[in-house]
Amino acid sequence: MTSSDAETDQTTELPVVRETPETADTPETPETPEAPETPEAPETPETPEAPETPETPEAPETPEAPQVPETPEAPETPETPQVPETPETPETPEAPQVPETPEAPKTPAASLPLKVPAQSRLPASVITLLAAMGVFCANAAFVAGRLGHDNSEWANRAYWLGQAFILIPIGIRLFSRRPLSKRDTVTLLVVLTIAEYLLKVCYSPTSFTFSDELLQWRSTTNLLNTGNPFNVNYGIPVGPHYPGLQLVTVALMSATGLSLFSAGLVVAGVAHLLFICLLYCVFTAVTRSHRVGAISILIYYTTPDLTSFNSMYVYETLALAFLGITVLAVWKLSVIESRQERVRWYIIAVLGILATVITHHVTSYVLTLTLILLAVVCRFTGSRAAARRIGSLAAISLAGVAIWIATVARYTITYFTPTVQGMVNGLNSLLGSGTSSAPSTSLSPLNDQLLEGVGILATTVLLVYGCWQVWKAYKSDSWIVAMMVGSLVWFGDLALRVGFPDGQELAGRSATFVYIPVSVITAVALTKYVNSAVVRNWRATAMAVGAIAVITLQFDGLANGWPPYWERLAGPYQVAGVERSTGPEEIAMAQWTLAKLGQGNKFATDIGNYPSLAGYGYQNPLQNVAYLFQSPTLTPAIVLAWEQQGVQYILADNRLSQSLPVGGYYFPGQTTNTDQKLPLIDLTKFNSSGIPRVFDDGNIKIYDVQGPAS
Amino acid sequence: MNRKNLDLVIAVVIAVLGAAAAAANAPVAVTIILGAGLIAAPGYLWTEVLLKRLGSVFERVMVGTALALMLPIFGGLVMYAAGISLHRDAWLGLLAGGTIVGAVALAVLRRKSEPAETETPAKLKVNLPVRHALIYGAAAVLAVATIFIAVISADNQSQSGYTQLWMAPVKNEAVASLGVNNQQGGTVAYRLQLLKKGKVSATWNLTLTNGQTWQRDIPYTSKYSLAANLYRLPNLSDPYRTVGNNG
Repeated sequence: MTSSDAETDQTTELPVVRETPETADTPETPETPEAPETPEAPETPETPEAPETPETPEAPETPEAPQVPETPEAPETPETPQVPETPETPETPEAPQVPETPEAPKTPAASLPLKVPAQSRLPASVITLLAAMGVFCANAAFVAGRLGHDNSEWANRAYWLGQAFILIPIGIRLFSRRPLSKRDTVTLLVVLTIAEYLLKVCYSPTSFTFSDELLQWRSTTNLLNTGNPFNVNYGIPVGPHYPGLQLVTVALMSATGLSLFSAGLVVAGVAHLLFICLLYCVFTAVTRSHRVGAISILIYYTTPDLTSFNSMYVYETLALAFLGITVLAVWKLSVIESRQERVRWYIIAVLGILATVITHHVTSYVLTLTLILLAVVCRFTGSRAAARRIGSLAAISLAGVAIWIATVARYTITYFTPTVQGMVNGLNSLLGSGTSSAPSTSLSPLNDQLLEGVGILATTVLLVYGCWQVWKAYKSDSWIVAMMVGSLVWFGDLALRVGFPDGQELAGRSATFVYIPVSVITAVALTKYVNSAVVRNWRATAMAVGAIAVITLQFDGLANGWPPYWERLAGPYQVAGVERSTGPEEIAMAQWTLAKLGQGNKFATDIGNYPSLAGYGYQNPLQNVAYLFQSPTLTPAIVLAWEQQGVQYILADNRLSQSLPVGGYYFPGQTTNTDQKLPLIDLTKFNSSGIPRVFDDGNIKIYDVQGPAS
Repeated sequence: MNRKNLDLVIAVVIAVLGAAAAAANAPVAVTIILGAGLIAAPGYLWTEVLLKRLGSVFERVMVGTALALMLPIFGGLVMYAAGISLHRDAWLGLLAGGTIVGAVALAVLRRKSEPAETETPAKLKVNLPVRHALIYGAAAVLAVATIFIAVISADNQSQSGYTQLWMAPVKNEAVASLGVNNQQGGTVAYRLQLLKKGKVSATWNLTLTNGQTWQRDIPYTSKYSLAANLYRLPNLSDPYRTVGNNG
């Protein structure tokens, strides 16, 4: 472990570092421009003595008085400069840690006789054990669900108790005033990421069940069978144009002999952990504090889909890791002075960009926009050399995206056209009539809605406060300013949520990216709040409030993320659900269709059987087929419609008549919630119409509508 | 052997052994360990080539992991563009080749570089008290046990049994595949009747164990009605499953 790894951060204060083209600090050089936090100096953030000019060290941010009533002897010391190459200070978790490396320059604070606060009574090892207990507890809830107790209150409580075991100790430790080494910080974040990932694995431990995972599974299977990474995938036609995930998975399978499912879990898990670690590195670099970086990660964990969709076996999971490595390399490029080192990081950045472009469309677009934003902000905050370097990377990224679309992934344009049109229509609707064209969606329980409302409100308030703080104190720091500008997309995200068709889903998907700058700016706001003069005398309470707020936001992310409340616990089949509509019966049916009917047949089916058919069945299930199942008799108009749509097979699942759809609607393409159960006659009408039935397993019946009888 | 290149030799040996084990279809327990090394080795070597031990161990681990993930993407696409089908041998060649080329590049780089540049690698020191090591171990055991319980639970999830019956025309042939698959959770006795123009033309009494399939090809045409009724014995009054083109 290097000295930087053993660095101890006793403060949540965000130091100010002025970035200049030539003298920007590097991880290898001490942060000399920064005025250290001296306990004696009063905090005067609003005073005119606090110059905002880039060249002068900023006074208001530095003088943290001893704000910890319980340990007034322990003044806050500035972060130790990261000096990876210097001999390290041996890290002894049990002993008080001196956060200075021998080579570190003596700052005013460091020269004081330090009496370091006592070590935490909650060491990382114990937190790890608590997290493992949390995983065990939440998995017990999944087991109970599979045994038929999926709707029981105690099983639900066991799940949340497990989550509490994971989230609360980590949150408390990161917000604690006790010293925290960088190694322990990394350990906590790794534990958090692995624990949440294990929960995701425990939910579906034997096969992929989420629709997008099944579609990626199909693409990988095709590559395995044919050796061609660009095979057609009917369920997600754009997928094979971005084959990064498939290539990595098949390489791992070839090297290790793992099954596709196991290899997929490994690839997704490693990529997800890598992404979080890289994000932490970037956050730490931007905020100059590993504690604030870690708090930013905690806040990022409030992203609704982070623990589910973003750690699934989907191409975005892998692309996010490449986005992370690119941004880290760009950060290095913008701060290191050695030209030779810059070339090395430049190569890594270019490789990261190209890997992102090949792996996932949206992530590559976001990366390009991020690089453009960083280049522009760097240009206007004085670091022209850094702006040129980042600008050239942005150009490479833009060119990469354009070339990839032009030569390999032309279908991407077709794929995104309806989404863009929907957004344009939504905007027109909002501007024209002042009403939203967003469809009604399945409402979650009142508790979850309240939590979501509080979460949005709290994040918005913190974001506004954070932006104000950044503008006030850090506007010459390119990366913080870029984060601030990026975080403003949050407000667009809110508009998307309420004003556009599919807005909820789009906002959920975009949250992965939007929350990156939002997390940093929110962490800045929290840090400033904790350190502000108003709450200085109640700092312990303020930190507790901060910890509670972040943990509450994390629970909000889990409650309103994925899986939704109606399939939060594993369990038996649900009508028109997602994971819980993909069981052995549906998989066996889908595999039968591939074996007996061949691939690529156009199926009309409900939303529950859709992913199984597209994934395991390698069929081509269609959207907008509800008309086939919404009348008690078969009329010539219906027959004409399915002929025009090219339907070859109709799959009718009698279980649809047993309950309302848990997700809000029965059939793919529907946008409004159904409030009436589907009558059985609407599903069985095909029996008496002379249409050949080729498959029957009691629940699921498949009709062949290609023949003359139809 | 120059000790400064020991890591390089170890990486190459692991990669070659990993490729050989996978090519020879060694037991999965062996290929998983060596294969993980085969995947990781190029990432490690190319990180050393690119970063020359710059940055912290943590950063280099991350860069190495990212490069290990990138190699199959770039290498796979290059091989595919070169007309090489992406099957196992190609992947093993790519990973082993990427490792060897990386090792050569690193050796050359180290030979050229100043001694001072290669002398002070940041070493990973683990200073973990026994008490904490035991607690971490307990957490790992608990996590593994949890996964094990989850798998057992999912495998044994209670579900209602089902029986598949099908009669699917075989494309471009005047036959249909007629079959029954039992997934009821135990042995079940069935009677299958084939009806041609509404009259029984064939009968089969089947006793299928759980998971067992019975199937055969039968002459098929859509010009007249052809149906199959499956009865679950002893109930012969109501068809348990029905397929066919007579409604």
